[in-house]
Amino acid sequence: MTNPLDPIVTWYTTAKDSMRVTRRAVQKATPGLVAAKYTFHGRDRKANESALDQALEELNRLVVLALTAVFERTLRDHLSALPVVRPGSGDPLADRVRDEVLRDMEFWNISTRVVEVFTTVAPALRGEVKQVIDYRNWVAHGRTAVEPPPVAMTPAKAYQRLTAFLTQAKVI
Amino acid sequence: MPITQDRTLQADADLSPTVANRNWLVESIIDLSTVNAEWSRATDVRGRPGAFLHLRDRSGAEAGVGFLPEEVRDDEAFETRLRGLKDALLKVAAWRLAVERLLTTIQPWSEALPGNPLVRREPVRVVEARSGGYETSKLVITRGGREMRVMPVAAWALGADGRVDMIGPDDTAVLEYARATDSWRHVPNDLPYRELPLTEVLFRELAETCLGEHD
Repeated sequence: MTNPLDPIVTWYTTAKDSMRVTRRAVQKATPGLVAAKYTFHGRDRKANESALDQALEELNRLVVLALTAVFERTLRDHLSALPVVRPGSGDPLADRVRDEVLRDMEFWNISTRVVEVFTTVAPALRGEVKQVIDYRNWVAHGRTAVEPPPVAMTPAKAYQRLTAFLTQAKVI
Repeated sequence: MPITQDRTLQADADLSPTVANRNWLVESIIDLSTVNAEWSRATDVRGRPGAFLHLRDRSGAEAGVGFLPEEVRDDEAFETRLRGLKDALLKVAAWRLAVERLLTTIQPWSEALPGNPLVRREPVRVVEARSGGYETSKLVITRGGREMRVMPVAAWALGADGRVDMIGPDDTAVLEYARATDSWRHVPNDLPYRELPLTEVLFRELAETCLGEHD
């Protein structure tokens, strides 16, 4: 299985590099380069740089959110595909129990239950992945404006730790 | 260990004695003779009233945590939060020293950059979820109308014992601290993932990238 996190890194790199190119353009202030329809038009350089800084900060947060969402989906899909309860046995009771177990698994808490079943993954790495999940929750629950993050994070570091987990867990 | 209440809390006839009755527990768990503790009245992000305990040691390290009244009364919850607060204070104290040592190391490197940059150290207040706010220092490097800040970001960083960012008009570079080896490394925010030991040569490269061209 290829790393399901890779497509996110691809679009993130494109977006980040686009911002770098835009930054160069607003810094150079070449006449006619930034058309009137763009938000950067007619603003001073500092204001444009500040707006780009803010946008990049938000992008970095949202990328960690996206990485963690795909990571979580990948783990849940991996668990539900395990042949713990045999599929399609033909026995209505067994099939119903299987359906219920799978439905329950969707509600397992990602940090306290899903991550913890992967006991082959080093405990320190499981702990770091929980920190990434805490960070994701901080972003997803809209707390960025009222609270500092639970831990400092970069998208590259989140990607590296989540990928290491998927690898050690033999999911990819 | 001196433990005081500020006027806002003293004026609260319900909360003030509740908190005062728990000071023996604060003293026994924090157990640091070099620390001053102050209680104040506070509200949490949902606007619920409670008390805030702020610790400061002689080095200037600070840490604080808020409690709802029910959390002050709950022995187990109160003790757990106090132990977390003590850990946070010790971590902030160690982190502030690491930042000071880093800035002392890179200040001459910064002054030696081409273009005769002006380099100054300034106080900065960092606010973190685990500790609350604390004072530390940043380095400001100005060259040709461009400014780069070497800014402490957090003592709590994923897979590291702290993070400082070099923030310039052209780019930002992340430096991470490893307490076990008392060393700094640069961790680029791109792939493939890598950690590069911080040297003077690397610092100069990063500074040039972040500062960008002269005006």
